[in-house]
Amino acid sequence: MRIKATLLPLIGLGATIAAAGCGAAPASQLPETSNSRETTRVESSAEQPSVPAPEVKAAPAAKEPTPQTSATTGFQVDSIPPKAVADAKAELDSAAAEVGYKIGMHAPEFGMSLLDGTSVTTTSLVDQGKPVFIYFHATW
Amino acid sequence: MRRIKDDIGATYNDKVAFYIVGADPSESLETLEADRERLGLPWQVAYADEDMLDTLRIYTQASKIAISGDGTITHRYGIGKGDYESWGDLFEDISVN
Repeated sequence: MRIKATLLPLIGLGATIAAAGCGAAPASQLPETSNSRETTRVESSAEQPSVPAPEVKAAPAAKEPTPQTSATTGFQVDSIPPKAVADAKAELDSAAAEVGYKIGMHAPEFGMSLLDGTSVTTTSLVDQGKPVFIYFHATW
Repeated sequence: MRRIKDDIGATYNDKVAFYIVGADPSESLETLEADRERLGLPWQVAYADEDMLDTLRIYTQASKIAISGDGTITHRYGIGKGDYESWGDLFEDISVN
């Protein structure tokens, strides 16, 4: 009895220290123990309805678009991957930008007149498909 | 120039379209033709239309430009560039490509 009388105040003191700021919450504020969760689980299973849930109607499947076919190439337009389209566009853009006077560029449009009065242009030279060599000459 | 005409010109005249274009707009086509005959060159003379010299950035006489069959500029030379061997190589190159 004497020991019990000595220990009880100590236990009370420890609880006070814990509640005052040692980081531990008092027992009343601690989360529920596993026993209480089990209880909750049992309660929730007991609340499940005995009748089957009403059947949910599945949303109708989205109608797949009909692929269009190119009249000129016969390819399905939708079957061309977007990356291929982007690459082709970039290639066309770069080719168009390469017109100029430097080596490797497409010759710009120019024209020259021959002695017989005919006119030769870049387009007409390319149409011939023959390589051209132009020598710029002066008599002096 | 004569060796180019006799050797290279004869070999490639049917494979490459050669033009002698006036680099000096003050010289007429007839003046160029007379000079072509004097030099004995078998190529056609032509007068540059407006903007051709500027478009192709031709600033000196004896400049040369080679254009492939698809319209790509493959060679450019200024005055004093190229010798007999290099001209042969050039014409071989552009006639193949």
